Order: sequence, then C-alpha cells, then structure tokens
Amino acid sequence: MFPDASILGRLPAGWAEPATLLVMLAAFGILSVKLRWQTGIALGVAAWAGAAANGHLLPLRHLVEGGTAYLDPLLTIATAMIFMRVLLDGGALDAIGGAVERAFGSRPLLLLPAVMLLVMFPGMITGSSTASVLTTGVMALTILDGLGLPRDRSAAFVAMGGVLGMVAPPINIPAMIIGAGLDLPYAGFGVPLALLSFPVALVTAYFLAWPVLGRSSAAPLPRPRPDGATAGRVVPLGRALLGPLVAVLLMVLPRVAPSTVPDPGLPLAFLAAAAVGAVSAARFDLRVSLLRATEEALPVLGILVGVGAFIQVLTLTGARGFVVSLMVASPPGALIAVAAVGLPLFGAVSAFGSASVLGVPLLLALLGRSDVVVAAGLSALASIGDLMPPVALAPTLAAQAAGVDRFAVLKKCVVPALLLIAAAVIVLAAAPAIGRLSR
Amino acid sequence: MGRLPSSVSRPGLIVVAVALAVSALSAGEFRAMGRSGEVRPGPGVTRVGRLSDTLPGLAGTPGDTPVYTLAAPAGTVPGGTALILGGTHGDEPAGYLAAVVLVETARVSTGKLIVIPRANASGFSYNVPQEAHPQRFEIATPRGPRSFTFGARATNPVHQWPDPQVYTHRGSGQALSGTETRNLNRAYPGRADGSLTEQIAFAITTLIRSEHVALAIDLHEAAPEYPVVNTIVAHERATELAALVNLELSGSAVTIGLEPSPKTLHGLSHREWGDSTDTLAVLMETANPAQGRLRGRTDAALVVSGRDRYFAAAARRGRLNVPFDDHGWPINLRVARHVAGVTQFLTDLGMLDETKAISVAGVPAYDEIVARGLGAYLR
Repeated sequence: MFPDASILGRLPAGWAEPATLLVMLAAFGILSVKLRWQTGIALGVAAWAGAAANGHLLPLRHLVEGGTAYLDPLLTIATAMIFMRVLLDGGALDAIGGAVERAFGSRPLLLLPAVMLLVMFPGMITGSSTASVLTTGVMALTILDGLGLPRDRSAAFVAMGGVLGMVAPPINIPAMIIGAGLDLPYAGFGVPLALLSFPVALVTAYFLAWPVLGRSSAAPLPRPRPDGATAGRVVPLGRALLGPLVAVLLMVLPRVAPSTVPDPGLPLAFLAAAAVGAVSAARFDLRVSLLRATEEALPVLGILVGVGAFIQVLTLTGARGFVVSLMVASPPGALIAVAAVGLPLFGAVSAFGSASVLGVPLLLALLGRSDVVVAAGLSALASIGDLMPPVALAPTLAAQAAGVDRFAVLKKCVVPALLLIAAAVIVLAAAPAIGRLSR
Repeated sequence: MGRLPSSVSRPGLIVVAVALAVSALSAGEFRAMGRSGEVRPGPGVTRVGRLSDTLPGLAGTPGDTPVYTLAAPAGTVPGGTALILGGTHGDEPAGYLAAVVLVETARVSTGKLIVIPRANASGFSYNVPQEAHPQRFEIATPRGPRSFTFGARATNPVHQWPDPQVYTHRGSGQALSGTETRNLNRAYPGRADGSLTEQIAFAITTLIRSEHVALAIDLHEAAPEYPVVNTIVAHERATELAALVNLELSGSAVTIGLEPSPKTLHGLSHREWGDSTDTLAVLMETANPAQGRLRGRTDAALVVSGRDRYFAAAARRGRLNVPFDDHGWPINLRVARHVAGVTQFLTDLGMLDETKAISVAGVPAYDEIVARGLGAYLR
C-alpha cells in the first residue's frame, strides 16, 4: 500500500510508475538544463523528487545505498585519472609518442589498426572501457596527434576503442552479467564477440582518420605538452614505458595465471602503476598532478553517484519495472529492435546496469536462438551505453584527456556507434546460424 | 610549477556537508541490518553449534553462522543424516524461512537433521544497491508480528573486497563476472585459505564429509522469469531420489519440475557437493517476485504477498516460466513448497535406503501452512 504522504499513490492503478518516471525526468531536466546544476547533483535531487512523490519524504537509506552502487568503478576512474596525469605531467607520454612517431610516422594508414588494437587491449583484458581510455588510450592520443589527427577525432577514436575493447574477447563483463542471469557459463563467446568488435574497430579507425590522413597536405599538429616541470626535459623511452608496463602486467597476469597471481583490482593496479610512473618520470610536481587528476575525475564520479541513487529510486517506486516490462512486452519480432534502442539508452546511466536490468530479461525473451550469441549481441548493445549522455563515460574521459569539448567527441562517435548497433542487430538476427558456425 | 586547481568552493563545501549529513543520518539503518536472534530453536533442537566448529578460522568473522542439530534420542535406530541449507542467498526469503520452520518445529526420532538457516550470514548484513529491497519484512503470528531480515545475494563487500574483474572458479577455471566471487553458490567446494566466501563453502563441504551427510538440500528462490524455477535440480547420483520426490509431490498440490545439475557449470552446491562428497545433492527453487527485473514497486508487502501487476501481465503474454495470476506467489505458499519438498525428500530417502532413514515429526504439512499461514508455526 502507498504511504499517506504519497502524491502519486492516489493515481489509478498502473499510473503511478510512469508518473514517477516523468517526475524524475522532468526534475532532472529542469535542474540540469535550465538551472545548469552539476549533472550528478541534479540526478540525486531528481531521485529524491521521485521518492518523495511516492511518499518516501526522507529516503536517506536509498539515496546512500544507490549512490554506492558504483563504488568500484568510481575508484577505478579516480585512480586511472591519477595514472594518466602522472604519465602526462612526468613526460612519459611525450617520450612514447615521439618514439612511435619516429618509427611509423611515414606510414600512418598502416599504423591505424595497430593503434586501435593498442587502445582496445586493456578493455579486452579487463572488460572496462575506462581502463582502455585512460591507459593506452592516452598514449594513442599522443600518437594520433603526431599523425596530424584533430583532437576531437583522436578522442573519438580512443573512446570507440575503449568501448570496442570492452566488447571484444576474451573478457566482456556485460556478457558475463547477462549470461549469469541464465546460469550460462562464460564459454563460447569468443567468436561472436570477435565478430562484433574487430570489424567495427577496423572500419572505425579508418572512418575517423581517413578524412584527415587521406589528404596529402595534412600536416602533423604539435603534440600536447604537459604544463610546467617537464617542458624541455627528455625521458628515456625505457623509463617512460615502466608505468604502462606495470599497469598492463597487473591486468594481464591475474588473467593468465589466476591460481598463482592474485587480482589486485584495477584501482590498486593503477595506483601501483602511477607510483612507478612517478618515480621513473622526469621531475614534476606530484601534488599538482594529483589535485588536477581529482578535479578532472570529480564530475564523472558525481554523475555515477547520482545515477546510482536515480536507479535505486526507479526500482523502489516500480518505475524500473514499468520500463523493463514495457520493453519485454514487445512482440517477438520487434524484440531485437527494442534491444537495439533500449539497451544503449538504459546504458546511458550504466552499461553494466543495462546488461543486468534489461539484458537479462531480453535474453530470456529471446531464448532458444543460440543463447551465447544472443547474449554476446546484447552485451555489445549494453556496452554502447558507455558512449551515451548524460554519463557518456568513454567520450567524457577521452575528451578530458585530449583537452577538448566532450560533445564534439560525442558527435564524432555517432556513426561508429551506429555501426556497432548495426553489427549487434545483424548478430542477433543471425544468431542461430552464427551459433551453428561457432560451435 | 603548475597552477593549483581552485577546487574548494562554497557550493562544493555545501554538497560535501549534505553528503556527510545524509550518510551519517542513514548509518543507523545500515548498522541495524543482520542482527542475530531471529531463529528461536524448537523442542527438537539438540545442539546449537557454529560453522566455525568445522572450520575454526571462521570464528569471529561475518561468515560464521549458527548450525542447528536435531538428533534422535540416544539408543534409537541410528538412521541417516540430512543437511538443510537456507539463506545461501539472503534475498531469497522462502529458503531462509523454510529452514527456520524446520528448526522451530521439527522433532527427529530416527537419524539426524542439520539445519543452517543463514548459510551465508554476511549476505544478511546489507542489501544489493539499486535493488531497493526492504531491509526487513514481517510475518504475522498469533503472538504478534515477527520481523525477519531481507538480505543480499552475495557476501557483503564490506566483508570481502575488492572483487576481481573476473572471478575464476578454482579447480575448474570457469570464468564468471567479478561480483560472483562473493556468491556462495559459485564457491563450492571452497578453500580453507580462500576468500571469506570460499571459506564458508569449504566449511559446509567439510561438514557434509565429517557428518557423513546422506542427503544435502540447498533451498533457493528465483525470479519468476528465470527458466529454472519451481523445480528441483539434482546431481546425477540423486536423480532417482529426486524423481521419486518429483512424482509424489506432483501427485499432490505441489507441482514441481526436475532438472539435472549441469555438468559444465561449476561452483554450485548441487554440482560440487555431489562431485566431491558422497552426499546426494539437490537444490530447490521457488518463484520470488521480489527478485525479478520486471517487478513493480519494491517493498516488504511485495516480499510477503508476492503479488505484482507487471509479473501478472508478463504471464498473460507467456513471458514467465511459472503461472502468475493476481494472487501472485505469497511467502506462505513458497515456504510451504520448500517444507513439503524437504519432508518428501526425507521420507523417500528412507524408502530407498532404510539405513539412511530420517524420521521427523512436528513439521507442518503444505496444506496446513497455506491454510493457517506460516506464522502459525513460528515460535
């Protein structure tokens, strides 16, 4: 029964949930767009508005509980930001970028697939687009800058590489989450995930770079220089690579030998790599770098906290069930189209959340069409959520690293994202055939 | 030297102050979770031990939990031993409450019953973020309402953290998403020196071996849209017994399915208990509307009444694997199914092998729980 204080509880049965959704979206829109509040705070207040309209005037427990939902990603992003700042301010990225430029500068078009694979690699082994964007992604930015690619395109290249790395085998967390909803072992996903990610990655690399690099007159832009301390200093390549090497080793070894190497978790891996990077770098002011990294990370962290509270209240009030039920209620023939729209849209708040909340019921609704292939296709659609505003995790982090406006990066990601959606739809539609082939 | 960021501002300080105040004010609600004393041992309980009696390393940890023994009086026919596990997942209350009913009502005249109502006690100390589950729910009894904890599926991350990105099940090498590293029912047979969850799993597996448990039953619930629901999952060595139970229950009011334990899915109780011990391992599932993704408003009323408009609509469209009408799946019905299932398993175990017979009296029948309510049988 609705508590007495509930405004929406007085509506006819079935109206309260959609009305709650409208109240929360309207509150978020007004606070975020009209009053220009920080997105994270607007989401938190909108969550309170939805709860209050349903009689929960002081839903403190729910706001706090929901706000902690993404504690691990929050720590990953914060520590990865520190790692990135240390590489940048300590001169390591300059050294790496310079070395790559000297080695491959005369053959940029051949280099593009290799750079895309470099960006994707951490995502492939951790399942996290953040890990890609803020490690090898930042290195790739300097390489792409050296090739003459404008920074909004470079950042889009890196953001897409991060998302495609998250989709690519061997580790795809949304696929694991969706599969776990059906007790589907994480086995046999390699072929469908490779089909979904690598062709799109190749096309994306050339799509973003060709218009610029294809012109013979394209002149390389100056690579970004870190502020202050390292200007004019040279870091030997071997030392510059130490920090990234530690990060990669701490990600790869627990995968390769799980019984002998304990997984330190991404936050500790990034902190250890940042410490090594700081020691091996040129002299720089670590305090300034740490403060700047925190300042850059806070808006994204705030959004994730707000998103957590927002989803908690959606669930509490039944609005989440309303949305999921509406989607799953579609006729069987339309389910793939619904997935293609719904999963990325819900992924705007969290790709992993979208996989769990929508991916699992959609897989259940599509049972019997080669479950592994369908789960893989759905996981790719959920992963696109990392490109979707308001969080737009991958483009936002890539834009921050490149020092450009995130909406400029988002615009450049639209076509590659549509390409990935198209690939996922094809895989979902052809799931039975792909399942037979990949057996 | 670079520019110091101007990160300290008045609005920023206000936001931090509000966040701290909200956290401090809500802290009491979180700390109140998971209190013990919800189980009131009945006249049949002959010993209340702890899981740490089996694995001393668990003593004093959030993974330690009461183990209730209901043994036949000395001098009677020895019989067999059965282990009943509730609360593997704290957000599946029918399994937990069915175990509570056994502890509070059963009297054993042949053999021995070992009951662990909160198999993963840590999972009863928090709720899963974004699931908005109630922290507690009440069951009406003739002596007034009794309050029970609604917990979470996995070990509390405060007790076991951080999760790896990928959970690799030791022994099989099976890869699962990192959060599954805290799922007791993916941790069997467990490790004495492993994570807290693996230690709990190891202690339970060791208990099965040391007590020569002939039959081990893991009581669960699942979302109504999940394919394995209202069913028994049986290890291949337990198939004959489970088929007999399935046949006899289906002849009564309790329609129940029977599924083989998948050989390719590792870490689950019915697979690993069966493979690594001599016990006959089975798991039972009922339909829990408070778990599904399609559910509407999430509160204590949903947990108890089991009624949900969205699930009813999904059933009409053929999207569920269980019947679901406006009456839903009330907790009385779900607990009654589990209790009836356990009783039938104990009966049929003795039919198949007299030396392993376990005679139990005092446990309410399915019809009695449905008619009078679960609370009528709680102390």
